[in-house]
Amino acid sequence: MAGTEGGMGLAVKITVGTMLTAMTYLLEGSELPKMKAFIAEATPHNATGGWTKRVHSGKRSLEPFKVILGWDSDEVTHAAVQTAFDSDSSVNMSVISPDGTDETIAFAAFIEEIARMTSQEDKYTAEVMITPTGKPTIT
Amino acid sequence: MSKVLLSGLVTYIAANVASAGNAYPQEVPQGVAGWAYSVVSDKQDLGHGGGLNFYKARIQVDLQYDATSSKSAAMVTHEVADAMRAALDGYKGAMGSATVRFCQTEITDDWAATSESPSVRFDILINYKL
Repeated sequence: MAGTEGGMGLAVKITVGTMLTAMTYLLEGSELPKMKAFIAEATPHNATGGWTKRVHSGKRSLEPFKVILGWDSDEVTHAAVQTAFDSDSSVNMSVISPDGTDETIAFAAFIEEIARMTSQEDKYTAEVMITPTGKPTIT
Repeated sequence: MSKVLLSGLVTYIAANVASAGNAYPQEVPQGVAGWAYSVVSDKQDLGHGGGLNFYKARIQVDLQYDATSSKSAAMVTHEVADAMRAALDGYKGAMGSATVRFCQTEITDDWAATSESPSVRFDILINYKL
């Protein structure tokens, strides 16, 4: 329900074989991709009151975002992350809002970084930087 | 979850610190020697998909021992506490049916050392999986 959806339950999916499959052990701190439009400044010298004028460049971007996984290379979705990193081709992915139904953003992406981390007092994790490419499909 | 860990802790201490003697829940009964354990907190880490089967617990331990012919009660109690802390600090592995990933003790009763109190209290921080 809009406006009252809890924050827990986000799903980030990656293609395993031919199926989009939810990444396991998706942890607190994971992000969703920011949508960005490129707006250019076009303020003329005679701008009214000196106020900035801007124009839309027509360019849009689904920005890189980070997810944090409780890393386990035996997990098929984590292995798929590593496979996608090793590949020069993009992989189809999606993110689904925490309630599982409100919104799905599907896109192609590259795995740009996998940063494994260990904390003595915590879990073995990996920060995965996902860099989308092309136009997303939002449903 | 705490029950599984506590059972494992008691077994582990019995196997590794013979001088620790009997263990009791909550507090050492009056007139006897031994150590007591109580759970301060025990929390499972959650991911977006639910429980991760990775728990973080804080257990409070209280020790109380009698004097011997050559050592004061305080001395005996502190020796047992030191032996328990040595066995626990940095331990990784089985603790009963729980698997410990991180273990550290933390003194919460510094006053006992300076006052030569015959009782010692410390906390055990344990991260574990079931």
